[in-house]
Amino acid sequence: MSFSLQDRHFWVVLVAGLSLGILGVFLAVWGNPQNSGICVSCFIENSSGALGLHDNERMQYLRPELIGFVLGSIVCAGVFREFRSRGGSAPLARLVSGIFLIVGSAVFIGCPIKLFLRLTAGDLTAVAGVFGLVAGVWIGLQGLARGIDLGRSEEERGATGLLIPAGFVLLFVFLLARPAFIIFSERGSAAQHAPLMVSLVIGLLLGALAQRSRFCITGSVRDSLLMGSRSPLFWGFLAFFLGALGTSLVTGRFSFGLYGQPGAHLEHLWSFLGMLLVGWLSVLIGGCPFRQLIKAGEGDADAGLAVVGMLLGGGLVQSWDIAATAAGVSITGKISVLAGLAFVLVVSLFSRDRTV
Amino acid sequence: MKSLILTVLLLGVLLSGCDQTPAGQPIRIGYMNCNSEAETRQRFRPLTAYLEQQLGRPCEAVPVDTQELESRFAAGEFTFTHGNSLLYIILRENHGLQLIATEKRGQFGSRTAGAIIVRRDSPIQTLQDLKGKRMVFGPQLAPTGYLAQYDLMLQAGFDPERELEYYAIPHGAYKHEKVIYGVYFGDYDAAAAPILDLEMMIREGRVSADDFRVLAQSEIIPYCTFGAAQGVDAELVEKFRKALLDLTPETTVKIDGQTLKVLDAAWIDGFETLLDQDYDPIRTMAKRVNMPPYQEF
Amino acid sequence: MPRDRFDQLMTASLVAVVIFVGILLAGGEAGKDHHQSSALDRQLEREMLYQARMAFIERNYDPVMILRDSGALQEALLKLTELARTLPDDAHNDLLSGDILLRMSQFDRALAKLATAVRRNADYVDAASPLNQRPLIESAVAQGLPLVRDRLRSQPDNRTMAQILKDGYYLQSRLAGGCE
Repeated sequence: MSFSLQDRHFWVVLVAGLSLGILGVFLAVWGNPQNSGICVSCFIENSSGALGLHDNERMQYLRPELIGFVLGSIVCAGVFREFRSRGGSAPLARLVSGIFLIVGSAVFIGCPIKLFLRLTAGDLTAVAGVFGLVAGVWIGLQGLARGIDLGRSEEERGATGLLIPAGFVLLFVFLLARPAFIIFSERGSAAQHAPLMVSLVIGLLLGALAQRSRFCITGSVRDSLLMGSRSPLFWGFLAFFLGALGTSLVTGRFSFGLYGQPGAHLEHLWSFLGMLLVGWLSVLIGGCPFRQLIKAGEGDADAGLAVVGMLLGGGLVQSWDIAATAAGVSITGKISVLAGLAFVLVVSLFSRDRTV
Repeated sequence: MKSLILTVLLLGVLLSGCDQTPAGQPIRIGYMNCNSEAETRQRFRPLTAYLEQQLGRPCEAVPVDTQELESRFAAGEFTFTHGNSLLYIILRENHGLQLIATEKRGQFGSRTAGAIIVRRDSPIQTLQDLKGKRMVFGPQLAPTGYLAQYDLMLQAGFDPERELEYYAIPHGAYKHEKVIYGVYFGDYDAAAAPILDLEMMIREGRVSADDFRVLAQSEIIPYCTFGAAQGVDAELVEKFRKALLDLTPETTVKIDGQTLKVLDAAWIDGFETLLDQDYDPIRTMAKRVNMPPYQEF
Repeated sequence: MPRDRFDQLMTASLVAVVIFVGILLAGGEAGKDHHQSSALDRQLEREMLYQARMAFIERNYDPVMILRDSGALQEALLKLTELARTLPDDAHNDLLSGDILLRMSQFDRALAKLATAVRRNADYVDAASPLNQRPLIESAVAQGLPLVRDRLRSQPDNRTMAQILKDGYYLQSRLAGGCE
């Protein structure tokens, strides 16, 4: 596939990437944790905590950005008539994949978006994660080329594709109404957040742009490996990277080095393996954690199950001490990453179409 | 065929009953008696057994009185020694002892200090107030039981020989504890207490931190040290050092059917490699106080 | 769109359920429900526990801080040793030990203690927390890290210093922020 500069889709992708990069840094400037202006896995962990799925008092906040991503996607899909209720492709595998997407991200301390936000802020500990992500995507592509396929999703009767969007509408209501059973941290990283409306509006904007453009970090890596600069996503990624880098430099958030980086550890092997797991799973299930949210907003029930898995994973990584910290990766974190790799290997073996 | 199988089986039975102790000339490690010979044996037997495993050679733990360590070392009795940091300097300066590793224990890790303490209710507020008072010191070769405190007093312009009413050094075992109890029970007005012993006694609940005031404290200096005799095979020295550094709180050894944690049994938190120059403060103190190895008569 | 009676019945039931939910939410049923009040209490209880911990720290560690502030640093350390008997593995004990060791210029031990304290209680690096000790930790890192690095340059095989360097980097990272 190639594109021309007259191609409107190319410009939409470029704008989506650039917006993600610039706003990803600005959200940190406006109050989100350092180098975590946008981090889907961290936001998922925070939101899981708010829903009571774990009891880490420092990580409980219903992140408006997450809600904005899904609602923005719903609205955009609705406006452009792209909302289609579909699903039925290896649902349980996708649920478990969602859990392991968060496991891999939690061990690295960040989703693929945060990976590059960290890198563009000068954090050299992210380099190992970059190699891991690229390696994971590459391995996933090798699997696809050799017939690994979870199966096609089908148009679904009934309203199954509406369930996750409805769930996020409910979360939106919870965010505004603040019922007593939704927990909001008063200390810790979850207490660091941009103003609610700012986060929500940015989430809506990015959700809409991402839905329209199909932008996805791992998808960009995938397309770059397959098609190089002929892919619009390659340019979208470049816009994201340069936007984030430029904004980091301009806002004084750039701090080059290996040591003393916020929310980073020095166990490079596990950063590599965590992101390898994320990259590989993302190819297998058709998108990184961010993309799963967007697809769920479009009515993709399979992505919706991945989102449910991610929320479960968000609770587990905190409750079971899987999530890494600046002190390093726990033994349960290491075992969980290896369990994730074993899972994706088993799924790959059993879902391979050997006639290919 | 049958006889071959029988022979192999027989050999297996015989060999399984064999002692697994490494063979060869035993390595003698001289352990300075800190409190008592019995305590020294108990503390360092598991460590010695561990070293035996790591070095692949039999090791013999030999408890030695502090006063005898130099002469016995000079006589070539020991390949390795474990003693206080003043003894390390004496053996190094006089007999070329090689530094291996320093023991970590307590608040300051591989270092410690000496303090001059009084009872909390004592009217003594400064070192000068010790004039005409009774004081108890630890053994003379104790860097933080005698040397550091004597030096502190000299540095403050106080001559213990002239200005104290008298000072004593307890007899027998457990001298450091006797020093601390001596003040606690009012037998003496002040004591030269090693900070580490004070810490241990407080940790065990035998005295309270509220019972004492620290009048003065010395510079923080290296703690007990392992050394190797000059001329010992460099590879063996390195192996010994590595064995010590590899110890973790979970390292165990089996003795008389019991599994013991090596560091726990030895009351040690670990080992650290220091540089010889880290011991210079003790050299300076010893010179000021006219103590071995710099004493002049 | 409802096509037959059954569809109409299901649609009507759905509407009735939604209305019923609306009545429950709007009708003050929440106040009569002990489950609701226990959920409200949870937040309050968490806050009370936190305040109780603050009072507990003040009560138990006050003598240490008085000794520290009067310059009796060794006595303060010995008091902390004693407190560890009744309050083992308490983060505040590590924090105060680190503070006092720093004042005694034992930078390596201070870094190790402060790192242990922060690992046990991240509030010490949280600017929004009443337990915030960022200035102390920043000072320890600023003074201690260069010395530890220098020591390692002259003694690269010192494993204790290598671990303390990691502790220093950990503190640096926690001070920089992040999601924890």
